[in-house]
Amino acid sequence: MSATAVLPKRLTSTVARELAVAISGLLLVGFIISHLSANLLIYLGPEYLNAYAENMRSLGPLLVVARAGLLAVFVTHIVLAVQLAKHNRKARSQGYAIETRHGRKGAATRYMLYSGLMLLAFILLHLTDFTLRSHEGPNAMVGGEDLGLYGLVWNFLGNPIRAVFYIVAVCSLGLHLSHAISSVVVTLGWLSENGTKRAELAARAAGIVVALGFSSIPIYILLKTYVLGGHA
Amino acid sequence: MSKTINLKLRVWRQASPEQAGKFEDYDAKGISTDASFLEMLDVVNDELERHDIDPIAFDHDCREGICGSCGAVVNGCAHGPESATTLCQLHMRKFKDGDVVIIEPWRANGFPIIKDLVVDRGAFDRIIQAGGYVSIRTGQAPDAHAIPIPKPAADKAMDAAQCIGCGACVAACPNASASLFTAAKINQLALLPQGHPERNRRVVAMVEQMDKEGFGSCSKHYECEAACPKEIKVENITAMNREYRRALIARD
Ligand code: HEM
Ligand code: FES
Repeated sequence: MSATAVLPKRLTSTVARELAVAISGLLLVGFIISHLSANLLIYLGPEYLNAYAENMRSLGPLLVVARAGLLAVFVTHIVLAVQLAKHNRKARSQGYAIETRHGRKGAATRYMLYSGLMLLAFILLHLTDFTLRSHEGPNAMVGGEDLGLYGLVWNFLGNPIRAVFYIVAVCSLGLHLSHAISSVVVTLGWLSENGTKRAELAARAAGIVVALGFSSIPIYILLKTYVLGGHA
Repeated sequence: MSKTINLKLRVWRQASPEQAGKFEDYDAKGISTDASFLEMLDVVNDELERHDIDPIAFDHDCREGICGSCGAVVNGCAHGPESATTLCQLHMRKFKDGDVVIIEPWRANGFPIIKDLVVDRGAFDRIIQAGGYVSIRTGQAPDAHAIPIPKPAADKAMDAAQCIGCGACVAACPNASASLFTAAKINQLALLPQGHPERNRRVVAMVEQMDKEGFGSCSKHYECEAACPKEIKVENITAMNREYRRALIARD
C-alpha cells in the first residue's frame, strides 16, 4: 500500500493495474514465442541447440540486462495479477446459493489464477533444471558423450515423471494464453464488435499451438529414449 | 391459454442491513402462468400478510422493463433465466409446476442489502456524479443539427445509453465488477462530440469512484453482457479502457 500511495491516482486504479497486467503479459507472450522457437532447434540436433545457447551466453552483460528486464516483467505481471485477484474476491463477501454461468467464456477464464500459479511453480523448477545448472559434466552425458545443454535436456526430460510435469505445465500455459490473448485486446482497448470474438478464436488456437509446440519436446525425448532408441 | 402452477420459493430474508439474513421457504400456490415474476411475489406477499408475516421487500417501479428498479437473482441468474429481460418482464410460463425457485438479492459489497431483496444502489449514482455528465454552464439548448454526428457513432451511443442502471452486471460478475455499467455511461458520452471536452477527466473520475465503492475489476468473464436486460455489449468496456489509456497520456 505505502509503495503505491506516492503514485498518482490514475496509475493505481484497477483499470491501470489491469493495463499493466496486460502489457507485461504481452511482453511475456513475446518471450514465450522466442523461447519456443529456440527450443525447437532441438530437432536439428545438439550442435544447433548448443550453438544457440553459446550465442546467448556470449552476450555477457547484455544477457544480464535482458534477464533483469524479463524478471521485472514477470514480477510485475504476477504481483499485480495476484493483487487484482484478491481485490476481486473481496468485492463479494457473501456468495450466491447457486453459482451459474451464462457467458460464453469457459474454464480458461475461470482458472487464470490457478494456471498462472502453476506456471510460477513450473518456472522455478525449470530455472533450477536448465538455467542455473552447469551445461556440462555428468548431467550432460548421453551414451558416454558430453552433449552439453542438449544432453542436459535429454537426461532431464527422459525422466517420465519430470516429462509429465513439464507437459502438464505447458498445457496450463496453453490454457492461460487461450484466455489471456483474447483478454488483452479488451484491456488495451484495441478491437471492437466482431473483433472481440475473432480474438477469442485466435487465442484458443494460439494456446493450442503453444501447448503442442512445447510438449512435443518431452514427448519426442520420451519416445526416442524408451521406444525408438538413440538421440537426435 | 392461462393455467396455474404451484412453486416452492426459497427467499432471502434480511430484516435490516445490520442483521444477518437467511433463506425462508414459502409456497406460491395457484400462480397464473400469465403473471409476471413480480406479480407472483405480490400474490405470495398477500398470503404472507394474511398470516401476519412481514411481506418480502423488493424494488420495482415501472414494471415494464424501462426504469431499472427491479432485480433479483433467481436460481443463480440475475433477472431470472430469460435473457435480455428484466425481472418485471419475466413471465411465470418460464417455470414448471413444482419448481423450486431460489430468490436472492444482488450480492456485491458495493450494493449493501437494505432489506430482503432490496439493495442500496447509491454507488451507481455516485459513479455518475463523479463524471457521467456533460457540463453546460450557459446559453440555450443548441439547434439539434448544429453539431454533426456520424450515424454509426450515434447508433453506438444510443446502444450504450440503453443501460437502465439496474445492477445486473454487478450481480452476475464473479468479481462483482461495475465495469459494464461504468463503461456504458462513459461511452455514451465519449462517442459524441459533446462528450469530448471532458473525456479524460470523466473516465479517470468515474473509474476512481467505481474502485472506491468496492466493486471488483474486469477479468473478462462476460457474465455481465449475458445478464444485461438491455444487451449492453462488453465492447463498451474495451472503449472505457481505450478512454483510460488516452487519459493516462493526456495532460488534463
Ligand atoms: C508465472 C506466473 C503467472 C501468474 C501467477 C499469472 C497470473 C495471471 C492472472 C491471474 C491473470 C488475469 C488477470 C485479470 O484479468 O484479472 C493473467 C493474465 C494474463 N497473463 Fe498471466 N500469469 C503468469 C504467467 C504468465 C505468462 C508466462 C504469460 C505469457 C506467456 C502470461 C500472460 C498473460 C496475459 C497476456 C494476460 C492477460 C492480461 C489481460 O487480462 O488483459 N502470464 N495472468
Ligand atoms: S420495475 Fe422498472 S425495470 Fe423492472
